[in-house]
Amino acid sequence: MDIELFNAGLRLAIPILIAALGELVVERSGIINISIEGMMLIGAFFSFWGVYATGVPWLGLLIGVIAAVLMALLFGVFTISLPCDQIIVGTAINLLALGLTGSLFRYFFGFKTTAQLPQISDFFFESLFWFLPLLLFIFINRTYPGLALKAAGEVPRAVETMGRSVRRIRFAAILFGGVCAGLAGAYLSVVHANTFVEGMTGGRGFIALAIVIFGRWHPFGLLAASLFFGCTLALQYKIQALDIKVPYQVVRMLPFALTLLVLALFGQKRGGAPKALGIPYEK
Amino acid sequence: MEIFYSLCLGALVKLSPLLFCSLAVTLAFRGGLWNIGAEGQLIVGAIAATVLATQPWSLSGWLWTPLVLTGAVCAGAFWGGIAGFLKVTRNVPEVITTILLNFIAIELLSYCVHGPLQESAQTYPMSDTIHMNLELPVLGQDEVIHIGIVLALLFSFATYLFMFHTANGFKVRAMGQNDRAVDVAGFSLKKIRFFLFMASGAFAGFGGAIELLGVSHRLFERFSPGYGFAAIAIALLGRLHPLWIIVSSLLFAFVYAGAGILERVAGIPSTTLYIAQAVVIFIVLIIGIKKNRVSYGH
Amino acid sequence: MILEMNKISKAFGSLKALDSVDFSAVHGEIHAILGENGAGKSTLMNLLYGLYCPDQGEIKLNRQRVQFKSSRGARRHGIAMVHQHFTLSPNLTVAENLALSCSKNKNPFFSPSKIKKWAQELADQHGLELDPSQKIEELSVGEQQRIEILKAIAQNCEILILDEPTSLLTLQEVAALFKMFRKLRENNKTIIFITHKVLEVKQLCDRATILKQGKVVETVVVSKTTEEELALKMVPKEGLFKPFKKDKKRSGKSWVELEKVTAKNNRNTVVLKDLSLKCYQGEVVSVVGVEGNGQKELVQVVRGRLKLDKGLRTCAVERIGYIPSNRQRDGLILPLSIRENFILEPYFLKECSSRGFLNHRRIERFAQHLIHHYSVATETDKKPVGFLSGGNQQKVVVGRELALKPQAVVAVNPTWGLDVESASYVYKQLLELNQQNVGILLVTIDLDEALKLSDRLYVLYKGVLTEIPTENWTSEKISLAMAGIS
Repeated sequence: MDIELFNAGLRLAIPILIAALGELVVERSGIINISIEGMMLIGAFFSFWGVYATGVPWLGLLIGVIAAVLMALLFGVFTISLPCDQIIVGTAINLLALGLTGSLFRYFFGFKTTAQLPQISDFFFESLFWFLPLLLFIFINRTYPGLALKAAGEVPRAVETMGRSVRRIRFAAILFGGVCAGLAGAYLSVVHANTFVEGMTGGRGFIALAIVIFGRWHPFGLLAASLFFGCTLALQYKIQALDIKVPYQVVRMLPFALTLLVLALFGQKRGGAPKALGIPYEK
Repeated sequence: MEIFYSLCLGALVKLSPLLFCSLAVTLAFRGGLWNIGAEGQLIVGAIAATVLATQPWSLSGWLWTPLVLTGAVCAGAFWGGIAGFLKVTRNVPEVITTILLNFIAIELLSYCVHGPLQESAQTYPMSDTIHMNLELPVLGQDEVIHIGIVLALLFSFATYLFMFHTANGFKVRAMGQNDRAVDVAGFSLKKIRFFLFMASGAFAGFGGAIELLGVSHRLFERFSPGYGFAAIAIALLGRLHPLWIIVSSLLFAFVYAGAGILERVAGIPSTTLYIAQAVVIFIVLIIGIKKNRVSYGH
Repeated sequence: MILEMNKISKAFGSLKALDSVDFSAVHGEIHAILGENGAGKSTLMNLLYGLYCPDQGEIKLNRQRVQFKSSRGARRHGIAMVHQHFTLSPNLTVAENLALSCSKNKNPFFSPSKIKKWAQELADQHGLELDPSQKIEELSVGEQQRIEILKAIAQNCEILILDEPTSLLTLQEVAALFKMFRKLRENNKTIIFITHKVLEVKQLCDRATILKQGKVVETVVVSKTTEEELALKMVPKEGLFKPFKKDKKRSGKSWVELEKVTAKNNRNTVVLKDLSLKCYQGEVVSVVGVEGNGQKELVQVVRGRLKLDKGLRTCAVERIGYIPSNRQRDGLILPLSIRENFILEPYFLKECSSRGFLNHRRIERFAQHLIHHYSVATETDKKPVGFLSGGNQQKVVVGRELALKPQAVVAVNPTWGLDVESASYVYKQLLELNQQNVGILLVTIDLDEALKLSDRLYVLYKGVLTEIPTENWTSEKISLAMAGIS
C-alpha cells in the first residue's frame, strides 16, 4: 500500500476515530448519542474562535473542548435527568449546534474568513489516534469503572445493586463523549483545514456513529474500521487528483454511500450492541 | 401593517412543505420508527418531479400534474423504502440510514442542478422552470397562495382518519407502543414497518413536488431550507397528532416567514432558525412528552 | 434478636396489603415467610429492604430503630435481597461481577488473576462450586442465583432475603441452593425465605411466619409442626377451584403434529433437535422444563411462526389461541385502552373493521361483552390496560384469546405472578375449554400446575422432548428429567 495514501487516509480517519471512541464509551453506558455531529461542530467553531481570539493554540483547543462538553452536559440533563428520548434530544442538539455555530460565525467573521491561525502540529492528535484505543481497551477491561460502564449498558439494575449510580456513570460517559467530539471537531478546524466553514463537519459525526457499529463496540475494531474508512476516502481524493472526470458531488457523496453500503452488507447483528442501548434508566 | 400582511402570506406559503414533512415524521414516529430523513425524501421527490416537469411534452395539465406527483411520491417512497428495507432485512438502525440518505440526497440535488438538470442557459446552478401547464392554480389576488395548501390540510385529515379509524392505523399505533406484542399477536412487523417507511417517504416526496409546482417552479440547491428537520420539531410539538400538527406547522411557518423578513429587514442570519427549532424541541420535552412515548393521547 | 418489625401496616390505594404485622428474626436462623400469592409476603420484605415505606409501624435492627429511604440504605445496614430478576451483568465474568460489587474504589485497576483467586476462595468458604472465569450469560439460572447470593454475602450482608428462590430451579439446583443456605447458617447469617411451598419450609427452615391476606396467622417452630398444619394455615378461603384429573380417553384427531423437527433460534444455534410431538383435540399436553431449553422456539414452531430446519409440521386447525408467558411484554400494549387491546388480534381486527375502517361501535360491544363475560374489574373499556392489576390484565389476555373460539390453545406459564384466585380462574377457563374438545398445550415451569392439569406430560431439556409415562408422575422423577438426568 502506498504510504502517501495511508497518510492521507490517516488524516481523514483521525477525527472520525476520536469521535467514534467517545461514542463507544457513551453507547457502552447504554446511551445513544446521535448529536456527536453537533458537538463536533461546536468543538470546531469554538476552538477556531479560541485560537483566533487568544492566539494561543492550546488555549483555543481547550475552549473548543469546553464548549463541546457544555453541549454534552445539555444532552445529559435531558436524556438522564428528565429523562427524554435520546434520539429526539440528539436531533435537537444537532440543530442547535448548526444554528449556533452558523450565527456566531456570521456575527464574528461575516460570511467568509481569511483569518490565519497559528499552526498546531498534529503530533498530539496522531498519538491520540494510536493510543486512545489502547487506553480505552485497558480502561474497559482492566478497571472497575470500566466494568461498571459495561454493566451499565447491559443490565443497569445490576450496577445499582453494586452500589454505583447508573446515572453518574452515564453522565460521565456522555461528558467523555463530549470531550472526544470536541477534540475531533477542533482537529477539523484548527489542524486539518486551518479555518472554519459553516457545517464543516459534513456528516463525519454520523459516519463515526456507523463506525461504532462496524467496529462492534470494541476499541481496536473501531481503529481498524476508521482506518479502512479513511483510506477509502483518501482513495477517492486520489482518483479526483488523477483527473478522472467525476463530479465533486459524487466524491462528497461517497463516504455516505459507502457507509450505507457497509451497513447494508454487515447489518447490525445482535452480538456486540449493549442490550440496554437507548433505554432510559428509571429507578 | 404591510409587513404583517406579507408575514401571513409568507407563512401560508411555508405551511404546505412543513405540513407534508411533519405528516411524514408523525406517521413514522407513531409507529416507533425514527425517520430523520424527511429532508432527503422531500428532495428526491422534488428531483423526480423536476425531471418529469421539465420534459418537452405537450400534455394538458390535468394529465401531466398527476404524473409528476406520482413520480415524486414514488421517488420519496423509494428513498424511505431503502431505510425501511435495511431496517427489516438487515436490522440496521433507521436513525443512521435516514441521516446518511439525507446527505446523499443533498449531494444528489447539487449534482443535478449543476449537471443533468441545469437550465438550458447553463448560467446558474438551477433547473429550467417547469412547464406552464403544471403550475398549481393560485388563490386570491396576490397569486402566492396555491391549491397545495388545501391539499396539505386534506392530507392531515386523511392521516387522522388513517391513524385512529382504520385497522392499519391501529397496527401502526400499537407497534409504536409495543412492537413485541404486535409481533406475538401474529401481525407482520416487517411488512408494517416497510410500508410505513414507504408511506412516510411518499408524504415527504409529495410535499417536495407540491413545493416545486406551487411555489419555486424550479429546482435549485437550497430548495429545502431544512423543512425535513423542522418537521421533527413540529411533529413533536403537535404531539404526533395529525390535526394538532396543523397548528404547530402554522407556528413554524410563521417562524420561517418571520426569519426571512428579519434577515431582509434587520440582517439577522437565517441560521437562527435552527436555534429556534432546537429551543422548541427542548421546550416541548420539558413540558410534555417525558415517559418515552407512552402518553400520546387520542 | 437481629431484626424486629412491629405493627407494620401498608396500603396501596384501597387495598390493605399489610395489616399490623409483627415479625422478628434471630441470628443464624432460616426463617420462612409462608403464604399464598398475594398474602403480602413480598410487600413485607420490600418494606424491610427499603423499596417501600411503611404507613405505620417500626423496624429495629439490633435493637436500633432504622428507616430506609432506598435499597441502598438497607444494603448499608447489611440487608440484601435476591429477587427473581437477577442483577448480574451477563457480559462480565463471575469474578468480575463479584469484584465489582465489592471494590471500594481505592485502586481502580484490577488484575484478572487476582480477582479470580479471590472469587474462588469466597466460593469455597461458602460451599459453592464455581468457575470464576465463566461469563454470567453462560450459566444456568440456578448457578446465577447462587452467585447472586454470594454477591450479597461478599457485600457483608447479615440478613439475606430471598423471594421465591426455588421457582425457577430444578430439584437438583434446589438441593444445591439449600446446601448453600445451611452453610450460610453455620456462618451465622440470617436468611429470610419467602415461599408458598410448604415442603421446602419443612425441609429447610427453623421457624416460619405464616401470612394470610396481609395478616400474620402465626409464627411457628417448624420442627414442632407438620406440613398439613402449615398448609391449612395459609390457605385463604374455601371454595377455590380444585383442578381435577379427568378419566377420559383421547378423542378426535390430532391438531398439531411435529415430526423430527429441528429448528434454530434467532442467534442461529440449533435449539430443537429431532423433536416429535402429537397433540390431540380434547387433551391437555404439558411441556415442562426450565426456561431456555427451547420452550420459546417450540411454541413458535407449534404456532407456525418459526421456519423449520428439518422435519415436518402439520397443523389441522386454523385458530390457535395463545397466552404468552410475559403478558406485559408480549400480550398487551399497556398504554392502549382495554378496548384496543381486545382487538390486538388479526381475526378480531378484521371482524371489527369494514373495508379497512374500524367500526368503533362493534369494537365497543365486543369489549363490553368480554369485560362482562370474563369479569375484568374496570369501570370503562377506555382505560389503559396498564392501569389494571396483574390478574385483570391476564383476564384481558385470556378473554381475547378464548373469545377467538380457538380450536386449540397454547398457554405459556399462564398463571405466572398471579394470586391464587386469578390463577384458579385461568385454570377453570382452560379446563372448560378442554371439555369442549379443544386441544391445550401447556408450556410451563410450574410442575404442580402441569401435574394437576395434564393428560400427558413431556419434559423439554436442551431441545430434546421426553415423554414421562403416567406411572412416573412424581415431582422427584420429573425434576430429574428436567435437569437432564434420567
